[in-house]
Amino acid sequence: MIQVFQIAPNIVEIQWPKEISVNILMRKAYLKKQLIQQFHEKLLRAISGYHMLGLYFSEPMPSEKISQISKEILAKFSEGKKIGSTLWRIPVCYDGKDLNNLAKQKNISKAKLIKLHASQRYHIHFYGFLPGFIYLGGLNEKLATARKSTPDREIPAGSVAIGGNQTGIYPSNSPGGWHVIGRTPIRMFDTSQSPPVWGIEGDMVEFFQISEEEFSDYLSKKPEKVEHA
Amino acid sequence: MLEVIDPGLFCSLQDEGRINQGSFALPFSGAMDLQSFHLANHILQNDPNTSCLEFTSPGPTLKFHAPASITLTGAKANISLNGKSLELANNSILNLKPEDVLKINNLESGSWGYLGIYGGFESENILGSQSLSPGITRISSLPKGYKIPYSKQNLEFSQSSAKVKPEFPWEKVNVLKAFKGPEFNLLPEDIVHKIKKDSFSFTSERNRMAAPVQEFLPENRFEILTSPIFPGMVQLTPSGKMILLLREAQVTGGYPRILFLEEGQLNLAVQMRPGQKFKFEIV
Repeated sequence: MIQVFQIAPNIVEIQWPKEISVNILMRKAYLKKQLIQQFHEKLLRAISGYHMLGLYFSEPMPSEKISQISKEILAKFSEGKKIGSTLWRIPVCYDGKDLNNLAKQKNISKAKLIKLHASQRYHIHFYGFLPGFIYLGGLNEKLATARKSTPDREIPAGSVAIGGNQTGIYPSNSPGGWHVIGRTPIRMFDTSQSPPVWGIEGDMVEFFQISEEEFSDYLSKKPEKVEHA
Repeated sequence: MLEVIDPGLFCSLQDEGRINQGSFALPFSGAMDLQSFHLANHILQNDPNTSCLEFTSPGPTLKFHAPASITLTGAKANISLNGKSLELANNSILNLKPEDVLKINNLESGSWGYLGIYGGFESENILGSQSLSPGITRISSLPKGYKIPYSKQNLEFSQSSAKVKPEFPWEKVNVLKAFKGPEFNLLPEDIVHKIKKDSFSFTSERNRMAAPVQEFLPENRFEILTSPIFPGMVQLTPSGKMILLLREAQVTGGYPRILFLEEGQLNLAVQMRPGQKFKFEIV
C-alpha cells in the first residue's frame, strides 16, 4: 500500500496511491502520530500532503528502515481507531465578496449555496500554503470551482473560501486565488498559544451561519469542540 | 539600540529558523546562507543560533546608539562609516562607538550578507525563533525607523582572536549537485537529457521563498496532488520553468518536485549572481 522514497539522506517520503481520500488521510494521520512518538526530536518535521508524508530527520535515515517501521505501525491501524474523533464548529458570516458571483455561476441562490457549504462535514487533510491554513476536503461537488486565473492581491485573514474541490480559511492576510464566500471571527493561527492552532490532521470541521451582528460575539474565541463517537 | 535609518532593498532578522515547527505549515525560515550566518556567530563567539541581520543589495543604513562589536559575513559589501568609505574585510571585527552610522552599499560578490553582533539582538522569540517570517511575525522585513535592542554592548575583541580568511566560494560554482526528486522518474527522456546537459542560471526575480531558473525546459503536463516540499527542492511548472525553493518556501506545493540539492549546495545557490551559469550534477 505504501512506498517510501529517499529524497536526501535525512529526508524520506511515504507515498500512498495518488488520490484524495479519507481512507488515506486516517492512515497518514495515525502513522504520523506514531512516528512522532517513536522518533521524538530526531524527527524535525513531518509534513503531509493528500497522499504523501514527508519526514525530515536530524540525522541520516534510510528509507528501508522507515518502510519497515511504517508497515509495522500501519498493520496495527484498524478502521475503528479514533483518529479524527473531534469535530470543530466554526461560525461563518456569509457575506464574502465572491458569494454573489459564485451563486450566479452555479445558477443557485445565495441561500442555497450557503446551505450546501454549511451542511457538510469536512476533514482537515493537512496544513499547507500559509501558517495555520487547513485544507478541508469533503466539499459538495456542486460547489467545486476552479481557482481564479489571476489571484487577488489581498484576501483578509478569516476569509472562508472555495478553491477547486476544497474549502479553507485564510489565517492571515495574503494574496490568494480562492473564491471568498464568508468570514469567520475564529482565529486560525495564534502565535501566543501553544500549539498555535486548534485542529489536527484528521479532525472534522463544520460551519454554521451567523449574522453580522453576532460576528463580534465570537471574536478571539476558540471554536466549539464536539467529541463525537 | 540599533536604529534602521534606511532598510535598503530588504533587511530582516534571521537565526536558524523554525526547522522543527512544520506541523502547522510554518516555513523553515532562517538565514538564506546558513554557513555564512554561522560563521558570523563563530567569529563573535556567540551561540551558533544567535540572530543576525540579513541584507541584500542595496544594503541598509544603520545607526548604533550604544557600543557594539559587529562582523560582516557572506556577501561582500561596500560599506561606509559615518559617511566615509571604510575598507573592512569580511569576517573581521569592527568595534562601534555610540551614534556610529554604518551604511552598507551595493554588494560586490554574493547576494545575501550577514551582520552579526556580539551577544545578539533582542527581539521576540516566536515559535522557537527570532526569524522574521510573513504570517508569523508582525513584520517580515525591517521598516525605516525600526529599533532593535542588543544585549551586550561593551565588549572589546582582540582582532586576531577569531579571524577567518574571507572566501566567496559561490563565485567559482558551475555545478550544483542534486538528488533525484520524488517526481524525477516521471520525466520523459528529452527533459531528463536537458536537465543533465544544459546550462542554467537564476533570474533576478528572487526573494526569500524561491529562485526561478532563467532557462526553460519543454512544456509538460505533469500534475500532482498538493505534496510536501522542502527548501532545496526544484519544482517544474507546466510552462517548463524550474523553481528552486528557498528557506521561506511554503511547506506544500502542487508542482512536480524534480530535484533536491545536496546538503550545503543551497547555501551556495542562494549566493550566486543572476545569470551565473551552472549545470546540475545528479548524484
